[in-house]
Amino acid sequence: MNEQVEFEKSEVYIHDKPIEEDINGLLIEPEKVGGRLQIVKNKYSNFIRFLPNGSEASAPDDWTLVMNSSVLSYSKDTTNETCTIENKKNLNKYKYQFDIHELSSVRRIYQGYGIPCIVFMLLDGRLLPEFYFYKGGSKEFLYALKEYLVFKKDVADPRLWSVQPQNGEKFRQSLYELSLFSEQRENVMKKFLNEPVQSTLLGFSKVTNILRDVIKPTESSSKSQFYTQDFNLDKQEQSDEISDLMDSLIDDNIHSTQNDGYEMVTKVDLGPMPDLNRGPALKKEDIVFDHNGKILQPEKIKQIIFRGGVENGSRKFIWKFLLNYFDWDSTDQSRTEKRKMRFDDYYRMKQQWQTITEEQKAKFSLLKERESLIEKDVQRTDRIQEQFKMDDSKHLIEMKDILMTYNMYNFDLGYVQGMSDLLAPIMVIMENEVDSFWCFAGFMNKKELNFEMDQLDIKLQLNNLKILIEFFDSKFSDYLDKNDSSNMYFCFRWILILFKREFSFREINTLWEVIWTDLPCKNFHLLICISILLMKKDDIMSNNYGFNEILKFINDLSGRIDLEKSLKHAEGLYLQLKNYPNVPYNICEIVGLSVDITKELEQIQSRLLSTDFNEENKLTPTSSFHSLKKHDDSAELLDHLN
Amino acid sequence: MASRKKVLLKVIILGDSGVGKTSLMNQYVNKKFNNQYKATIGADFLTKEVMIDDRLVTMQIWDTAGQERFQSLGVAFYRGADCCVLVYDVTSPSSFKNLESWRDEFLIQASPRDPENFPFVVIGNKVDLADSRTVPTKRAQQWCSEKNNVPYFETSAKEALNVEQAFQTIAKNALAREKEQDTYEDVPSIVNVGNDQNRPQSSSCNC
Repeated sequence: MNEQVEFEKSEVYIHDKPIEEDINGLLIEPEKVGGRLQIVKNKYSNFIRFLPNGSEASAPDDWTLVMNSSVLSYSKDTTNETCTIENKKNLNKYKYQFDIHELSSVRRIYQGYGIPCIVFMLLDGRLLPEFYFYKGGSKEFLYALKEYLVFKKDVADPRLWSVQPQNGEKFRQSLYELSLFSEQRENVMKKFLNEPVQSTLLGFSKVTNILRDVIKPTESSSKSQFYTQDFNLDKQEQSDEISDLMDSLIDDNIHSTQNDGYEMVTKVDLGPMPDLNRGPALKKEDIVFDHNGKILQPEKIKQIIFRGGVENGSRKFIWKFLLNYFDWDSTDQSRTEKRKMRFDDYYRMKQQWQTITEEQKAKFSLLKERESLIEKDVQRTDRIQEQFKMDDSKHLIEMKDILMTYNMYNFDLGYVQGMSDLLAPIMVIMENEVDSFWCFAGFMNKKELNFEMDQLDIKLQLNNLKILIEFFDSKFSDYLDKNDSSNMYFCFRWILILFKREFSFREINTLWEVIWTDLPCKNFHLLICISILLMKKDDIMSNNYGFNEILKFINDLSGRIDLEKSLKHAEGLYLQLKNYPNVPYNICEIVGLSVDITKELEQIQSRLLSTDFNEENKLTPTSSFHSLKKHDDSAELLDHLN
Repeated sequence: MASRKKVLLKVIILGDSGVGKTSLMNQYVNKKFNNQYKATIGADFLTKEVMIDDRLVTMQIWDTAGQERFQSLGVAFYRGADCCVLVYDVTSPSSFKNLESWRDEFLIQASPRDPENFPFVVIGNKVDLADSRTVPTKRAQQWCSEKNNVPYFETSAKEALNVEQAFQTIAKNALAREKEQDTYEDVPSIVNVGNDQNRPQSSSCNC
């Protein structure tokens, strides 16, 4: 027989009729068709198959790949063909089989009776009937599927797992290029930098698998061969010792959680939180110039700002540097020139929309629409601030003008809600329309992706936040998973407008200054989120808050978060990461910590080659072990390497 | 017999930016009006306990951001809704025109069971601005009758006009829906990938 059942779950049911409600509100027991859901492998590919009980006799090789709920997917070349079809006609209706690569997404839900149920959607948009797991095991089935496909959990809907397209090829390739056991290591770093996080994780997971396979031989002859040839280990006992050791490391010391289709295995003992102090704010005297008016030691200035913010009197000047209005190495003269240029540019762009006549506007609905949105938002942005308090305040007109001009400056993005929140503090500090505009434009350059139509970057940031939480506090992370909050949506406002609604005007100036220094690492704002969440997690967990309550609780934190404490804690988190030897690669990627992968791999290899199997301590988990995912093509890889 | 357990009704308010969603919610729940409510970022909700037909129910009223691009994240909130309130501004024809897409978007994202009969309520807000009114009552009524006779109210959140009445109906219809749904915890939903223009399908089929 050319095929092999790789996974099977019995007691799975299809409902003949959808669950219906009768007049009394009771559920009518649906007609059920029981059977087995399988993952089958033949020489061409892998298939998912549903086999109704009593229909298994036919020759499985001949099943067609494509099915349709009303069309039989059945074989031809058995001798008793007609007879079989005739006899099993009713059951065949419920047979389903499709190539695993045709799968587009899987949704795991609980249906009316609280029965876990899986819905497959294929690439061409077809939906298979719901498969009910009456005796449980839907999760197990999904995990089994993850051996073949890469899934991504939908940020907005945690029940939905989409298959990541085409990655298989990429991963295989990246793995070859990893050249784990050959000499070409110089490509490794480059490859990893170019590959997205996911492929990196998978690359690592494969490394892990090779190691596991090496250590724990399977029936696969190629693996065993590799194992004996390259490592000169020919005794089963020895390998068992190692595999036990591996297992014990993983079972006892390392916490395992699931996220986005990857099994994260992390051992996190970050040590104590460093005791940090914030510093004094940057004063005028701290800014020293050379004879041309060039700022000396800008890095030192950024350090001071990161530690303590800026004194109010110096903000107007120094913000222009933080927001790329001026370059740090600019001179007095170049700044004067630049500012003049900026003024001209601004008024030119302002004229562009101001000279549009009403008649023209009537035929320019997009502009009109944006103008009306801007006008509405200007009327309700920080009106309690002195500058914006009065209905006839000139600053309200200015705000509208700046936002309308920004719309001309960046028409593709246009005006998006939240922008006025980012602008208002800048206007209060700059006290000048043109300077405010360019500083705002500089801020927007940093945060533009937050406002994109597809909202992909926001989703990515929320996802990264979840990855960080998982690393820093897997218990809290599990709690969020269990309470439908793994999408981290409750942090949306924090991220979109960088905590603008969470702190007072005075505090937001300091917070933004700190973030604008880009110190001490990439995505420091996410560490600030983590720091606040970790400070508040006990409230969330002890009150047993669910999705709604968490959102409400987080929204209501506005104005009640200790900024200095949050910043200290966030920096502490960064230092913990920096000092931790085995930070998982995906975390490094998020905060921009560099990892010497080549070195890491060499270490693993040399450790393996020189392992004295009686000394337990020599096998310690390294970052490569942090992401585990089994893959069946390791055998292929080994063939290739051999 | 309907049980006397505590009932939570989830109500979602949708509509263009600036039509008065936050104001309506605050007027109804807190009896307050402020014309400087900040633009809603993300989502938030308020709860209010009300008596409907001798039954004490808790209404959880969700206020969402009105700008279109933020809707892709809305699915997390729409789930399990018992009623959806579509709000437009009677002085803004485009906000009225967009009711259609708000309705569609909701049905796609929330994928409610039996979408044809899902309870919507339409509110034309800001009737205090009579001088700048541009959407005639008749037009709105006609739209509502085409949509399976959706109840229609004209309100002023500013002057607390008709707000209470509108929400009474919202609560009643949501409760009726809740009763119907009592036994369902999670409704079948269609995975809708990349084809937002499609009208949502009913999850029941005739096969």
